[in-house]
Amino acid sequence: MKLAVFNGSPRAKSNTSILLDQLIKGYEQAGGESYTLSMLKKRKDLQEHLQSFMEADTILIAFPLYVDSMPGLVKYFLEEIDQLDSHGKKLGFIVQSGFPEAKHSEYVARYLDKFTRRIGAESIGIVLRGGVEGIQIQPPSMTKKLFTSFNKLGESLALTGVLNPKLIQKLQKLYEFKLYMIPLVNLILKGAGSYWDQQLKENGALERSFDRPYA
Amino acid sequence: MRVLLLNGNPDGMQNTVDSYMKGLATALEERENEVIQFELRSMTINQCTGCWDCWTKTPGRCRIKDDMELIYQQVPKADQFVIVSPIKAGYLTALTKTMQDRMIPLLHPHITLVENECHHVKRYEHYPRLNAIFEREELTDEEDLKIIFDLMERVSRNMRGGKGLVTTTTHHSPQEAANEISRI
Repeated sequence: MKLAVFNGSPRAKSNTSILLDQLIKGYEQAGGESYTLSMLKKRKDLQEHLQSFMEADTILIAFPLYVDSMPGLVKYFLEEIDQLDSHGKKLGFIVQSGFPEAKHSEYVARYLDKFTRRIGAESIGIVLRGGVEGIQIQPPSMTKKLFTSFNKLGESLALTGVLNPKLIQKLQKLYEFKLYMIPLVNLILKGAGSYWDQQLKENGALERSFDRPYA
Repeated sequence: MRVLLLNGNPDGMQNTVDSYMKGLATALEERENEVIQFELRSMTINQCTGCWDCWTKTPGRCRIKDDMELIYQQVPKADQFVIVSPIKAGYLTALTKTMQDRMIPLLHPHITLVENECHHVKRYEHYPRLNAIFEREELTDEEDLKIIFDLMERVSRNMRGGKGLVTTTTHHSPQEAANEISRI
């Protein structure tokens, strides 16, 4: 297998890279060999990235959910790929997002599935994982399960050539909130608010939190 | 109504979307709307870098100083936000998406439940309703349109501009589209 992994996060130290590192770790530990890891950060580098895409037989593109779909630069990359002949290639995606429910990512997942078909590639799976914002400040006890799951994804890629569907199902966790969950969810959302407020406070910007510069 | 009309066509040589925009702007003005147009390919709108300054350091303001500022200034004052984009690789253009990514300073980072789903808290009292008109590409089929229109409905929920978004293709004349958009 010639694997090409693409990290579609614009951020310097990204949650996407943390998840991909775990996946690659599992992939290598299971004997996975030649792989390339490319960062989709600048438009001027896209031709070089296309080269990696063309040389690989298995491709994995990971990105954070931006406004219900892929970051703009990832869309530029997909528009380039759309021009190529990808018959015989295997293509998978990882979509990580902040909101807990997988439902938010379901819509771009449908797009990615259709995209894979349209370019003539074979799907190796589409991973959707919510609740990822904040993993950089969470203690290992909270992230251990998540990281292990991503190790196992990499392992399954090396051993079977696909991202294990059962694992994908497990990683999706919650599709949408049921009514009985709402009181607990409201509590959790207060916690999410604190995550942002803490950063605002550290930046001396808490009092300006609700500023309306364009009113 | 005040209507923001955004042209997501990246290719100046391919002008059918541009012609549609002209027709739509005229039709909207004929219906007593104030139309403010943006031709995205003529503007400098850089990629969102995910720095979170707009939510944690300079609330409501993006760190990047470019032409997106012109759009920010209009959004909270507009009634309708209309995207006109060719379909490329099965979705709206990367040019349009890049602009959309830069919209998040207009929201607040806190999360609230809207119809039992997570969405971001409003920063402003009012947001325009999202509408989107697409020009089909050669391979566009009904499945593609459903995927795109469903995605627009989701974006509309996050944009907090209210329901009833108009999604269609350039198959509908600018007159018909203007009628739909102008209907409250």
